[in-house]
Amino acid sequence: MSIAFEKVEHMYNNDTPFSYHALKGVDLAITKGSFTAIIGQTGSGKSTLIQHINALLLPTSGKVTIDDYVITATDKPKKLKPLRKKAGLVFQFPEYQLFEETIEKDIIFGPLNFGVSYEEAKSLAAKALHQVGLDTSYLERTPFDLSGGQKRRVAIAGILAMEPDILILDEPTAGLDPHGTKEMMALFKSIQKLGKTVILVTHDMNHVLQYCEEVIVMNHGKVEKKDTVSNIFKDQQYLNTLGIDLPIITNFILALNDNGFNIDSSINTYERLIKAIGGELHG
Amino acid sequence: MDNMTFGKYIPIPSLIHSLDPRLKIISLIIFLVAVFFDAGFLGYLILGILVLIIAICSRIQIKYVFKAIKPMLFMVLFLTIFNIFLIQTGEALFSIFSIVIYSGALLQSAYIFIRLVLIITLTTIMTSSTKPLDLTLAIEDLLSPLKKVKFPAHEIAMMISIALRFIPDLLEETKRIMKAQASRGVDFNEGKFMEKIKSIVSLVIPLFISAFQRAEELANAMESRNYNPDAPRTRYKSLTWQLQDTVALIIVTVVCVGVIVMSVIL
Repeated sequence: MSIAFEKVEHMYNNDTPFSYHALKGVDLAITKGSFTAIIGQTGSGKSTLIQHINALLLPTSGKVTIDDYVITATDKPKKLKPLRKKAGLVFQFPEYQLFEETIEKDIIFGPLNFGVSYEEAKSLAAKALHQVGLDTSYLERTPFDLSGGQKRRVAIAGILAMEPDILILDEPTAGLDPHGTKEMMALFKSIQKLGKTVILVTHDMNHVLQYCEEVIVMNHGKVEKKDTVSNIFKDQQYLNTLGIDLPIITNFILALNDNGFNIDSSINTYERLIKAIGGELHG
Repeated sequence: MDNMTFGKYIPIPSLIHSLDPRLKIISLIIFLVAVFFDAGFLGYLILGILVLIIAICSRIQIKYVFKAIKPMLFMVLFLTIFNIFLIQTGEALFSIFSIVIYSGALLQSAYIFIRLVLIITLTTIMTSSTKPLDLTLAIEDLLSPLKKVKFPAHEIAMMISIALRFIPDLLEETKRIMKAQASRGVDFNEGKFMEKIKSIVSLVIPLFISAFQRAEELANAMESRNYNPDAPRTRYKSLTWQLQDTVALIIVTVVCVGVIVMSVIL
């Protein structure tokens, strides 16, 4: 078990009139090497939850365990850096964190902070930039002239270059074009295949269906459900109460089945769906 | 960052909250004048009691006032200690390392300490009991007679209200960027001097970029809605002066003028 939450509570601005109870007794376990989606409405505590994984936030009470690191309200690991390196967190709209003159300098910033040598950091930067789909000619360019989508890729490369064991992504594709979105999601999937744990906060159920294995449903600061992707999407009524629509593929299968078909509703790719209907994929 | 309670509006129902913001600004100015008159400890006792009564009426917990004073404490102590060593009136009391301490210095320094604490306390009560937008409305109202001499009262009020409006946003942004950079291994609390400089750079540059972006977006949004500072406009919210404001103004004026008169006579 690589990540475990035990009765984790989090209060923002504790002891002030502005206090806000963001997490209410979260119990949770995320398996090593899994691709887990965290879904739920805005304000349900998703972002608060993920910030506990690299100890940016400390629980008000309860315990978070990440492998050997134990984080409670009173004692956090003395040195946070190894934990921050282990769990790489990509914030929502991470392009705002760019600050260096060149893209290379920005990407090596993280690795250098974690004590990687300059030469090694540079090769990590080139590799990470390639991973996010930009060629090495970008290394010497300034990040501020890039388009929004390219900035996003550079910011994500900055985290990938840290080579985290756990990659946490807070709506990484929000505002990207459909093509870029697909590329990014495929990238995260390929990182999971290297044996890393990937945690994805998202509102896009199509991504959940196509790329994820486990789903955590958050509602009003609590983990309401944790199950496999296919089990979660079986309970349409429950998801509707949370304002969550089914993925396009699942919706389509349900509509077909209502009209006499009998197709497995856990199908998660267009290829398999087409095969199940009995057609052929052209082009 | 979470402890930035200084001057933050605290929404609770109280007598002070319901007073007219114009009254609060005028009273604060009168009080500031009075507090700089040397009326001896009796004078400060009277002003102190006035501040205490206002604090109680505002129903703001004392610990918030202390929290607000805390960041200022260094400055207050610095000024106080400086004055103890520099003022050379009254009789020489004793000397530390050939620096002579005078009785007048101790007295003056005590006054300065009391003055600053009173001013910070009252200002904190004012900003915690008044919505920032109400304050700017009041500033515009109070400055509006100057419009006759082409003083840009509305523009200044608009600038103040925009600035106030963006303080929480920028704080939020600062927190966000700090967290993002902390995730990339920046340690804002520890590290060598050069590392600290570097970590501040990684915070300040993104913050400036986003502040400029916000400013540009806001300017565009205002322009696209045809904002014209000279246009005659009505207000959604207008301030109404009530009997309680007149009573409060009389009380503050009487006490403060009393203290000033005392200091002149003494």
